[in-house]
Amino acid sequence: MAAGNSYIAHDLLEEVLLRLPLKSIIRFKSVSRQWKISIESQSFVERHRKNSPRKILLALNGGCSDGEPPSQFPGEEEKICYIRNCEASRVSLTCDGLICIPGSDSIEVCNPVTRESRRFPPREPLVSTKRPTGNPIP
Amino acid sequence: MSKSEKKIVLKSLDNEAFEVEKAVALQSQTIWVMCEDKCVGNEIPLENVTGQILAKVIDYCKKHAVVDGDGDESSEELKNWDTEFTKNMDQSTLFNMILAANYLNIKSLLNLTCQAVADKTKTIDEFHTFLNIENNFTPEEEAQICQENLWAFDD
Repeated sequence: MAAGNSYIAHDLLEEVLLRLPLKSIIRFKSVSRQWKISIESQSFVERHRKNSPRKILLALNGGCSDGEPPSQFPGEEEKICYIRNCEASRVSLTCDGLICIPGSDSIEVCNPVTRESRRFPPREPLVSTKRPTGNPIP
Repeated sequence: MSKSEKKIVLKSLDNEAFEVEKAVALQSQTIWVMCEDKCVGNEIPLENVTGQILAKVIDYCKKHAVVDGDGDESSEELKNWDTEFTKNMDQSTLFNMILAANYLNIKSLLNLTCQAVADKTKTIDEFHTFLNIENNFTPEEEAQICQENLWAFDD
């Protein structure tokens, strides 16, 4: 291919990559080791997030048997993401697009955009069951 | 401003000279800075851009200068013009356009050409070939990435 001889700096290739649909970006993690590192880097994630103004709504244990529900934000693009088999009754925290869902015996942190999730054991209680001595912890 | 001051000559890597309106050339931040600093005369040597590519860059700048100037064309028409502009460019030309847009610092052109490459690059094989990137994963590692992101790999 003609472009084979041209040299394009890595940061310019990143410019191209930023404009690809997310599915392609995830696929292109398998292009090379360097690409995987770039794509998973904090700076790339930040830049990609700034480039994608899409709204995401989350529905826990939702189903889509009746198709997509009507838009909640007239005129704005939104995407609804369903999480199945989830015991949580509420979404507790969101931060930088990540969602933390407390369950009965674990805590799930997921990224609805890349469809990745990690399950964490519940946090050990801060205060031991023994009654503390001295001033109570505020 | 006298008539001669309104024109500027851009000289390509292969010594091709292009006389353009200053307003057209100044869409390039690089040229703008050069002119502002008065570090060049009326002739600006552009050592990273060939005549073939520079001609296209100037076409783009002319189109966009006219539109920005008197606003007689709708943004819709301009968008269509942009699409046509990159539609038939081969990858090699597109890459050289990206390099030129980057060197000349023309943000909108960089945006347009990067988007065009992104639109034309759909598969991993295309990415490898066009960009001359060597795949240095073992088949096992590649399979693992695929396994971890199944949704992105099913067609």
